[in-house]
Amino acid sequence: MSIKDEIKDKCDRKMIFPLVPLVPGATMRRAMFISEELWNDLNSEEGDLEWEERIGQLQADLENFVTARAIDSKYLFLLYPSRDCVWEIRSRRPSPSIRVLGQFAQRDVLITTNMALRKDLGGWQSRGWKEVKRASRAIWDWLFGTYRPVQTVDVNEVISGAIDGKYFK
Amino acid sequence: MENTSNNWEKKPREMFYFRQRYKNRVFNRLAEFFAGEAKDRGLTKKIISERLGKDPAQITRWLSNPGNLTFDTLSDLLFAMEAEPEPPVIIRLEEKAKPNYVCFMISEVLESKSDVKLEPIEIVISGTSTDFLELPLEPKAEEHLQ
Repeated sequence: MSIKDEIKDKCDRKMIFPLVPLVPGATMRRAMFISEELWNDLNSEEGDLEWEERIGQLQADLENFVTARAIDSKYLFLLYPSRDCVWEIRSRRPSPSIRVLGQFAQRDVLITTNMALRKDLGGWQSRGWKEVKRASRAIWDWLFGTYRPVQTVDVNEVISGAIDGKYFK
Repeated sequence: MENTSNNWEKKPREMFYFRQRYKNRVFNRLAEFFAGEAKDRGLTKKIISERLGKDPAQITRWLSNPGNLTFDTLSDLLFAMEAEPEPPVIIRLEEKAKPNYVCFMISEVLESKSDVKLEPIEIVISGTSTDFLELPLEPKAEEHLQ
């Protein structure tokens, strides 16, 4: 089974979900598949205004990966060490800032695995970061077993439309 | 003229979604334009800061997050880049055209079908050549792109 078939299989089994833009007519340049936990958050029951604002903006920020013609390094970043192949998407406003972690199945196909509040993570070599990266790898392994995510420090190998910049520490 | 005021069922989440979506689209266009000017004309944040009489750190903040942009700062940044934004194209949601491109992985999963044959077209973004499989663009559809 190819990685494409694996992704389709996991979607059929509702282990991951394709992120389809809510607004009609949006060009889908890249694919993002989100974990069940994140899917549940994005489709949660109506909460207080603060929750609604945060979730609405997170949805838009994630869709940015799918629809944007150009992506910059303030939005998508490769976490250290590169061999872990864990990337983060930054959803920074409003507070709290959210980091959505994921790994690339192939170019322009991102599997988001988990997310965390930036304020809970500390410095970039902190225990908090190590735990969320470990969780991301574990979720990937659970989903795709022996298939390895794309391992590279060159952003152009994982996405199209990358603006020149520093995507890796 | 139909009175649609009683049909309004939109929720706060959607309102915040559309706000952020708009900010992201504007910011992306700004970032893309700045990257192009940097590459083609050697424009830097330092030059922009000098032209605007601002701290370079402020320019970095403006260019790092959609949430930091206001109408004024957007205009000022583009003014310093010797450019200006055009007014946005306004389209009713119900009149938005179908997407003219869907990533292969999404389309496979959704099992969408298209009657239009896909033709490979090379598109250059910020100096990086990228191959897309994309439908031939209609002038109206092209306005809907970011």
